Amino acid sequence: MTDLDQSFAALADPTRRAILARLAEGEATVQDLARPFAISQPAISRHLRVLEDAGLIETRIDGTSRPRRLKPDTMAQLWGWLGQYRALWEAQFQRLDAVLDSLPDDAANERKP
Amino acid sequence: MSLDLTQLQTVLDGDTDIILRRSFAHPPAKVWRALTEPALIRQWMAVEGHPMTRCAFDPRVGGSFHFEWAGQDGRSFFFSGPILDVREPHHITHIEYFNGDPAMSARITTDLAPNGTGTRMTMVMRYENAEARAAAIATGMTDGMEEVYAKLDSLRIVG
Repeated sequence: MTDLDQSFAALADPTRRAILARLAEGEATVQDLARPFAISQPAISRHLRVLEDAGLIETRIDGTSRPRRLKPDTMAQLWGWLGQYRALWEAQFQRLDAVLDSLPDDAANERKP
Repeated sequence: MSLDLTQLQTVLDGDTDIILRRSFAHPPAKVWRALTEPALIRQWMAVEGHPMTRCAFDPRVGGSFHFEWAGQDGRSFFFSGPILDVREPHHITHIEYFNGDPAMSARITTDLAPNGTGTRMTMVMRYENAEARAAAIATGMTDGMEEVYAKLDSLRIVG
């Protein structure tokens, strides 16, 4: 629960979501990430630290290079969770569709405050 | 039955908001009835195996609502709270407490806009903070959701 709280908080920031979208295409270094976002490397590093603390990404050590990559388990858990939340609502809305279909048009349209 | 999620738009906005958007094939006046008349609410809020044991909705400023279900183990769970703003049939704002707990509250704004012959609904659920929002998403997954879980097996979730 705590980990997921942190994950959702980390996802609230649009730059961090963009970083995740970039990492979804493959691992990248701070330098790689700083280029398209037009913000400084220290700022990118701070975002990466938030994402790593939230368990969304991890650092691979490759000689002097430190590429970041998505942590598949947490991401899958998160998307799965949101997907279930969405499915719950959609199931309810489909029942609401059926209720609406069952209502007579006249009564609804001619109802005035 | 597989559940088509393409009709429903879900956005996590900022730290505290969840925004749901969905279209309905019927005009706002009808959607309004289904959202506010207890006899109709019961028809779409009941979850299989978890009958609604109480359903009250008084859509007036200063009114309140109470939706309650029987849980698996004989315990019930409920959502309740005050109605803050009403402009029939287009807008309602209410506060929702889960099991009466002020720590688990959301301010929910529902707007029904005409959309051709139908309705475009926008529902903004605002929580106290990011943790409360995450908890709300998690809580929805734990109580009485077997029906949805069963459907999920056939779903492919795309982020």
